[in-house]
Amino acid sequence: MAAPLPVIRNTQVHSPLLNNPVMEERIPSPPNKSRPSAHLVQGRRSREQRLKSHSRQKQSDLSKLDAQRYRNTYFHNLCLEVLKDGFHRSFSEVFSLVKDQQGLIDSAGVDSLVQDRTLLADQHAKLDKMKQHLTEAELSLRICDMRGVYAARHKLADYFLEIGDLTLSDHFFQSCLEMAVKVPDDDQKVVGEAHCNMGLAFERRSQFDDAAAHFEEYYTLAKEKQWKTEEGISLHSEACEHLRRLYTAIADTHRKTDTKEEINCLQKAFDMAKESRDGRKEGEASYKLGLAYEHAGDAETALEYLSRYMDLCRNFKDQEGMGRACEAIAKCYERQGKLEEAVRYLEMFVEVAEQTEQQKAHCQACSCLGSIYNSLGQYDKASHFFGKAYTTARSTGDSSNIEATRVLFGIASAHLSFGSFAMVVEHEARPSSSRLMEWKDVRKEEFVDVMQDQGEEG
Amino acid sequence: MSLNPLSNPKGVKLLCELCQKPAFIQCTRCRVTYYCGVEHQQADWVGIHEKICQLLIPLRSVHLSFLSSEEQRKKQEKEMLERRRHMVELTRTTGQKLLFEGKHEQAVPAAMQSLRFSIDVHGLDSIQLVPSYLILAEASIGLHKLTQAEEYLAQAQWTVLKTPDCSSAIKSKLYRNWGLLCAAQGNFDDALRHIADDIYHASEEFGTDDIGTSGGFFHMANVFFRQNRMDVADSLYSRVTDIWHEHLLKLVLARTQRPKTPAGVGAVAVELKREEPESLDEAQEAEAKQVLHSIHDIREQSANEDNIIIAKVKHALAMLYFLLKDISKAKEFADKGKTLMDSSTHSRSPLANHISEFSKVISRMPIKKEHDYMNTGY
Repeated sequence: MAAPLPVIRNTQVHSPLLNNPVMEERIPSPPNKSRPSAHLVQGRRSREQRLKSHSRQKQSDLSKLDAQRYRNTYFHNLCLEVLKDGFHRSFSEVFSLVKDQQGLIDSAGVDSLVQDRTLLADQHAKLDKMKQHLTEAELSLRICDMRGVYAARHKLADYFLEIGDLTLSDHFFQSCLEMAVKVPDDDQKVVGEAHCNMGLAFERRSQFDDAAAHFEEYYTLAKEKQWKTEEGISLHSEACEHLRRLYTAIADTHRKTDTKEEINCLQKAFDMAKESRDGRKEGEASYKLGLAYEHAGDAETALEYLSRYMDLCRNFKDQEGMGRACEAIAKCYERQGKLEEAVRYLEMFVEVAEQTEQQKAHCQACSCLGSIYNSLGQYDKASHFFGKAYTTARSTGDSSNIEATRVLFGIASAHLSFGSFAMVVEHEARPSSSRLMEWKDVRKEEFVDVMQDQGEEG
Repeated sequence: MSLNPLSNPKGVKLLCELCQKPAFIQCTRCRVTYYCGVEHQQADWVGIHEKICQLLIPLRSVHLSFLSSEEQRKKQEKEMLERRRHMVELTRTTGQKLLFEGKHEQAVPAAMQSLRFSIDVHGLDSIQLVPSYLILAEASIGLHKLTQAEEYLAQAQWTVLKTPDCSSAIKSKLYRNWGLLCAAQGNFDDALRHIADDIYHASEEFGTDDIGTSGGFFHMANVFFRQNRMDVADSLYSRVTDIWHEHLLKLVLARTQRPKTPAGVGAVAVELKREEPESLDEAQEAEAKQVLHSIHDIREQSANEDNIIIAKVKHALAMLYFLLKDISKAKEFADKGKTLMDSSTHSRSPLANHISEFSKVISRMPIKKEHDYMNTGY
């Protein structure tokens, strides 16, 4: 019956029941016991040994914790520092941010572009900054000072925005918003600010719809409360301005695909601009809207908005804007077939451009006008304006523009001299063919005039 | 059954299971375990032997059967190894559970058995021994034998250091015990630092909001509590409560919402019921009890506590007792939690919803059992 017990050395030591003093030899023995002590070592090795033990003495200044600190990674030590003071929420946040980023990189696979991104755990400056502000935030949280929490997180978000780490700044702006909601304050200014920041964050990522949602939130809040900044600027109009910009951007994305949606967005942008009471911005919006209508083929409405733009430009003495307005209006009239109106506005455009010495605009105005006259068959005028455009283009020195106007000028001139040329070819008289030869030689403009005179006489 | 050491067969020394001194009595049930006296037999019985008595027989009795082929011998060896592994698991969980229940003295025999079996299976300096060392260390701390605890911990740490790819779970346990030791010695700064390390490693292993990590937060809270830094302790206690509450809620919902699925009276429904959802193991149950009760007591004692916080702890406890099938206690806590919640202003929050939902389920409880019985009967 009697079976041998399992063989275990020194098991009695493991029994705390017996108040035994702890034995020296224990299962696996730590190696330092086998280390020979310095005084036993004889001969030429003794000096080395002494040196070694000397250095060991030096090292013995390190406590156990110091040794551990040396062994751990930077991130590990940082976590310990944070946790040691009981900042468990900060720890969780930093930890999950680091792990999430690592997970993202790992899951992307070896060949992906993300692979060369530095791990957050190795970016010491960022970690330090997070530690500093998150612990600040948690301190405030402990005494239920939500405003303090918000401020600390906002600082952090700003910092990451500054150094261009959008993922992290977005994360902290998001948490700012969550905190802001909890601030016990009737005047929800922080909430508005947080929404505004979130909107900007989404805008930076070109997620316009989300951004618009946040800005709308901000707008409603600002509208109710009539906030003012320290400089006295109304936050309401600021919100309007943000929304206007955003709606314009959304409209841009719809430009190619969905004209209706584009006009819809631009309309919203225009309303916002009107509400912000910033005339320049309003003009801008109405100009864009007008162009969109024109693009969609609704010249009537387009004209309405464009003339509004022109009025606004006139108020602000914005000559450049006036020019643009004239051009767009002329284009509308041209589309409607009211060429006289178009010509009128274009001439105004030319005039404005000349007055303000905007050579580029002037050049453009002239070529527009030229092409209208060209289509009307008034080649002399067409050639006149194209000539002007060509001269202006040459004086600006913009080579592509020079080429374009040169061609246009050439075509108009050709149209102009075509009648004379045909006549000369028809009348096969000697003087006329010699004139033709002459003209071919030098290409003088008198040829056209003279031949026209002759034709009238003949 | 008493023995006389002089009448042992030649060359066989029968030693006490606990102290390794010559044995005088034998366990009459398994007949393979010996003790120096009744005292040790009782200690071992209460601690672990009750559970493993019958399991020890195949491990310790001499096999007289003759195995003819290599194959059979191998098979038998494998079986033995499997049994030992199982013993390691069992003894370790038991030890851990006893520790959480605060029965440090009883935990010692279990821990020693687990150490013994681990050595049998894994050899002397394997990382697998560390959990057993840690249980022994924790028991020693509980019995306030600090030098001894330090010895065990040093041993464990040395093994961990020598094993570079040691799992974070083990490291976390190791540092937790260091922290407890330092706290017991009154060295709170070091304790905090060690517990911080524990939390870090536990987070690596389980994630920051897992019940595996909550233990670290709880001990840290205790240290801050003793240092009288109440604000920190408070926030940590609520964190621990949150973690447990969430976990228990998940488990409870997995059980209570099951009947809501369209239960046809067919075989499928019966099958569905048999499938046991994820549950707590013994050690976790004990930990939950210890942690939640002590938080509950602390919250009750401090004067100006928010009702919602207390209600949450009570709800967590109620859920725990529900899982432990102690319905009457669960009911008690659920009712208290509900009254607290109703009196507070936040009667629309999700927590309030969960609480009222849960107390409804609980109040139906005994009746529902009969229903189930009837259903399965038909």
